[in-house]
Amino acid sequence: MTNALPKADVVIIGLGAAGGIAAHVLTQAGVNVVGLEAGPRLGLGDFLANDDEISGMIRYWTGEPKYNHEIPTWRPNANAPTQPPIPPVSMANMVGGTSVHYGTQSWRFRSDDFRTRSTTIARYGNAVIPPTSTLVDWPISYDDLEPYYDRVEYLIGVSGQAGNINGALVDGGNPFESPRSRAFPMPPMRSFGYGELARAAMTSLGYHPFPQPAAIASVPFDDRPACTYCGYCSGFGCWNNSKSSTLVSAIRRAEASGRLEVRPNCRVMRIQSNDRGQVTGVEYLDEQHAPQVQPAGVVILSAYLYENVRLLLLSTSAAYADGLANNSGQVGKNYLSQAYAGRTALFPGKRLNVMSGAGGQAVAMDDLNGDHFDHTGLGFIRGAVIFAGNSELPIGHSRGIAPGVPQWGAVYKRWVHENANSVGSAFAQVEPLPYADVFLDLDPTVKDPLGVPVIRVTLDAKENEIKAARFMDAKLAELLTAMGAAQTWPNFPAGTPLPINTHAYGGTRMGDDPAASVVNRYGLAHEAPNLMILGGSTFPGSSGYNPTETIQAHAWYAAEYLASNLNSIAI
Amino acid sequence: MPDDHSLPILPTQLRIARRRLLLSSGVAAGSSLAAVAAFPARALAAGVPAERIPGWLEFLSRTIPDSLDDEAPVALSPREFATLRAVVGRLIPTDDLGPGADEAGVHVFIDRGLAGPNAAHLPLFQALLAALDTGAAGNGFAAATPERQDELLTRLEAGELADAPKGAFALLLEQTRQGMFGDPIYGGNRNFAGWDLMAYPGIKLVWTEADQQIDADVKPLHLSVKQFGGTGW
Ligand SMILES: Cc1cc2nc3c(=O)[nH]c(=O)nc-3n(C[C@H](O)[C@H](O)[C@H](O)COP(=O)(O)OP(=O)(O)OC[C@H]3O[C@@H](n4cnc5c(N)ncnc54)[C@H](O)[C@@H]3O)c2cc1C
Ligand code: SF4
Repeated sequence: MTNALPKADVVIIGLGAAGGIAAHVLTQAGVNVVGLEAGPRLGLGDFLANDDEISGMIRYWTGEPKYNHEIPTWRPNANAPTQPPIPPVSMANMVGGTSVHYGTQSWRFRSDDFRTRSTTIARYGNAVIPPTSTLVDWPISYDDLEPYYDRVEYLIGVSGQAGNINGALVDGGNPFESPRSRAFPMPPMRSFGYGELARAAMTSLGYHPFPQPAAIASVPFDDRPACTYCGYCSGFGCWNNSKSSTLVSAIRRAEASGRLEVRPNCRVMRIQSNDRGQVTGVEYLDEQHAPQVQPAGVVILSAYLYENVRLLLLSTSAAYADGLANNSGQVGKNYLSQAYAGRTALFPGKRLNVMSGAGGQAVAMDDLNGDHFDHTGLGFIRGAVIFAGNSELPIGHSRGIAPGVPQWGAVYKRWVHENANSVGSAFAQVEPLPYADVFLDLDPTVKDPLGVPVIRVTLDAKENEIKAARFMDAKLAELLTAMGAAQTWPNFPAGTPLPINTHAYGGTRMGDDPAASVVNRYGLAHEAPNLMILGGSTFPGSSGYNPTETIQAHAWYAAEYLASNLNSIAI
Repeated sequence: MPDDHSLPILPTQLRIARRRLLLSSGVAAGSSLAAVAAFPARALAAGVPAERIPGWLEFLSRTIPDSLDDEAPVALSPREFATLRAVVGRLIPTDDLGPGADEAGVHVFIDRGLAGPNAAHLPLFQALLAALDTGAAGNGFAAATPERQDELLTRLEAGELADAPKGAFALLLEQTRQGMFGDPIYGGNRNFAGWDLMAYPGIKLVWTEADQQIDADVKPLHLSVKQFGGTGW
């Protein structure tokens, strides 16, 4: 048996986008925090030396410490056999987590995103909700989160153009955005040639384009230099400290407070609980792979969705035979994975110069998102944000060949030579619904190199999302053609199921009813009230947007509640 | 394409440690001798089991010859290596537009991957190259005429080449593209042949507003992660 370390007020498992924010909020409030992070501590020079298209987009070097070796398995339904291994997603293991190399598209959800069930029924009636969908309203509203979105944007540094300040529409911003209390702390990312083509085309089609908000310093911010639009952005660490990861913002500040102890290369294996159902601490492997026990008054689990669910299911005890906080059987239920449509287009003879720029540098439109258009007769509900950006790289371009062009040989080579710099794209990020038969559990046979079972995903593409993706795909073709494309083609068949995703939701659903959810509005487990769970795993539903700013706003909201009520929550 | 993701955990942390070491001692990949000498002590201090160190030292000290003809295969046999070179030279041939994949060292890229992250694909590549040699008859694929080589590759693509493993062509093509258009640090894209072909300037840390306009003419910089102390993954 290992000796227990001195008890910590709060231990955080995973210092990523969510854990990093929680560490900042708690330490600002005077709480002492131990952060256990499975990955190493990396910095500027590491990214410059290690980030290229092969290491970052194919070999996923930042997932080597852990994620790459525990890829969930997949089966389309509970009666189907497990499918061949699916490629990993590029989540990162390091201090700062995936926020260090994410694409920086930094969105707030809108107020209707928190009330999808009631707003849909109010407009179209019950019948449009697919019968197996477990669509619900969230227990919190946009207004609950607005102050925390604001704090996140000003702490980490988000660049953008406001569309609605306290109810007054602002020119050039997103007219559909829910009211914000003030403008972004920085102006939007720089305009660029391809984006201007998109802006003009969207306008001519009657839409309302605006610069996508980006978690990047568009101008110097908080001692960090402005972005240089280097092109190695989504999927890469920033060489210049311009990307607003939690590593360079929240975690930096939390460490400066003297109250956050970061322990890198420390991998949590299990969360301990007593016979009253409270959590008491965590078991982990330290940098030397030696087992350690860290007792704590409160445990925050923020290790990204698959590991959040996995650690709960693995942490059985006398009080929890089926996994921690899972006497309700709800852990792993109500899982969702974002759906997409994407189109590539050829603009013959034009040098687009899109093999450059920042992940968040894009022109977006919200006219086909949420319920901003009439869905009557379309056969699906909800929508997608649509955007056209850049940050394309050479290997990606070498694959994006127009249909009918040979895949190899002299003709292929000439096509690449003449057209690689004339190919652009546009994407629609489709809102998926939750379903009763889409869920996560532990794989009965597949294990990681340490012998620990991996997560198994049970998921199939559903009619609502397939129809939505096809609808959006047709709109992308229209948009790209209006931008001047001579030819457009889909990147992948619309409606392809994506079992694992960097935008995944659910599994530890947030709700008021302990029988139908795992955590309450503050991320505290109904069954284990001194266990907090943070991240997309708590989302009852999704949206057409990227999730991270909402994950971070909720982490702030939850951590602030914890800090104010620590004495009654901690054991 | 799936790489082999079954590596144990420790070497990775060590690889990260190795890169930090190269950087923190201020040496680029080309002059890493001092770093190599300091490596065992640092690795031990980082908790790496002693038995892992010799293998990593060997990896660190490996040098890359300048001439493709001096390049010896590390996963394939010399014969397989020669066949692969001829194969990639047809997939992206040398012509008036510039060097093809053979001259760009794409076979070196693929071979190194088969000794490292793509080791799981080695048997498949060996079977594929054998099938092409057998299909070519005579002195094998490399000795066949370009027309005959293209015919064999066309059959392979259509799934009609005897004894070729299923899915092999897609993997071969993907690896060829990665080698041709990926960073030169991995042995392919020699002299930035792939990046020049598609007018990609190379790593360019600063793109100005003018560079990002339609029809701006962005000049090649020919920078690889190697210039920033990288050694590739
Ligand atoms: C290439 C890419 C681009 C993306 N682009 C965008 C974007 O543009 N906009 C957007 O909103 N979102 C984007 N995302 C998604 C975004 O990264 C996630 O939403 C966000 O990082 C999730 O936050 P998290 O804290 O839950 O997980 P993470 O940020 O991944 O942090 C989890 C941390 O937990 C650690 N950990 C895991 N297991 C353990 C364990 N057992 N013990 C200790 N530590 C552990 C991990 O090492 C990691 O550091 C992108 C993701 C990727 C991969
Ligand atoms: S594009 Fe900007 S924010 Fe992104 S990695 Fe490059 S410098 Fe950093």
